[in-house]
Amino acid sequence: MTNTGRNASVPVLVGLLAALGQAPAAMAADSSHDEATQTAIAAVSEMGRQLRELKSFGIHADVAYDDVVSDGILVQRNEEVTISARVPDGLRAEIDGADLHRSITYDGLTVTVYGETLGYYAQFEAPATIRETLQKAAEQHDLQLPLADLFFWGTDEDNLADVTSATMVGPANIGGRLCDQYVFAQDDVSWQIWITQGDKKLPCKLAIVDLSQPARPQYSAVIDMTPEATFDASVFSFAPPEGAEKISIYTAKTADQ
Amino acid sequence: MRKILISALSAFLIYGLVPATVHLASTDHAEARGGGHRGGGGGGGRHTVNNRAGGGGVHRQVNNTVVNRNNTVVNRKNVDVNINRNTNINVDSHYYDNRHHPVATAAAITAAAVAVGTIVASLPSGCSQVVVNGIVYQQCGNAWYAPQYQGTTVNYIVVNPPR
Repeated sequence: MTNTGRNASVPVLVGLLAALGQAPAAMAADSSHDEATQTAIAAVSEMGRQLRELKSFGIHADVAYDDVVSDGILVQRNEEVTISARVPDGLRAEIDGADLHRSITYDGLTVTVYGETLGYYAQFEAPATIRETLQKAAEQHDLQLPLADLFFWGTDEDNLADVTSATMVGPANIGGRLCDQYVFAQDDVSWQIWITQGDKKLPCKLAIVDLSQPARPQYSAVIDMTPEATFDASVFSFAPPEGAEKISIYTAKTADQ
Repeated sequence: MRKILISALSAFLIYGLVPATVHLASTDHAEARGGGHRGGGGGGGRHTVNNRAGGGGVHRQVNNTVVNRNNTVVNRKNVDVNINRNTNINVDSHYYDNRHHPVATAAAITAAAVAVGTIVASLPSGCSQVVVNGIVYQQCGNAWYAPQYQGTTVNYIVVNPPR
């Protein structure tokens, strides 16, 4: 019963790891450089390499994630995420739940977080590129852009060295698309990615299990990416709607870094 | 027993009921916050493979904020729901954009005793927005709150009356 509300892929992952005949820890211990791991990492790197060649792209994602509300009880939340990216200095993300609506806008100079229901927005000065901005937002303002990983794969900041073990699972049907599924183990997180088959490598789905918490909350996003989408410049600029009030945003003190 | 808890939980989620007492949370409770792109929006898990907030990351930052603010936080998430004496169901409510909440009554009572710098997840009832010198406040009786974003979550800091 404790699995109530949990994403159904937990047993799948557990079953998968069991089928491999190896516990994640054991996988980590002796096989970080095996062929299966290298193949899986190479698949993500190749997808990342192709993503980094894009001058712009759009993402629509159906997201489900767990909140640990008490004592291991998980409540699954759903939201819709829409991302518009113009490399290197334009980004807009919209997060829509049933009640909560947020937009994050980056125009190359400033990041604005805006909540439609509350009518509050906050801003901070941003670096010159999307990646630097994502880094600063997370480090200093507690602001995590959804699917931020998609901006780091294919760069030297991909952190794929943290993968202790990985393997390809096989093809999967993600919303009518055939995508290759891969599973990765890291010390504090395990994750899976589904990548389109064929020459053009795009993400179909991303699933993350947080192993650092006993309840193991999950995050899952079914991703529909449109490469080389065209956006009006206004997508990336924020003009406060009438009645919107500016408030401050949390900023970590230097000592916290 | 789990069944009962879950159905009780659903009642809270559906009707937004939090029939409970508010207490000042310890930093341990605060530690359970954070994670995920909500940046403190409940005990969520990781939303990215790589935690770009650095070692300890979001959790540590959130916690430090609380420590810097007199070790106190009033958070709807930390409301005790005493369905049975061994179980507290802490319903995170950052997911919703409600400024006010039924817990307000209790929070309002508490507010007088809450130290300046305390961060609350939602406001008591009967607040009105006041702009003083270009800064937005929520005045709730004698208590004044300044809204701020933490990640994509809006929370409220207890401040000295600006006037």
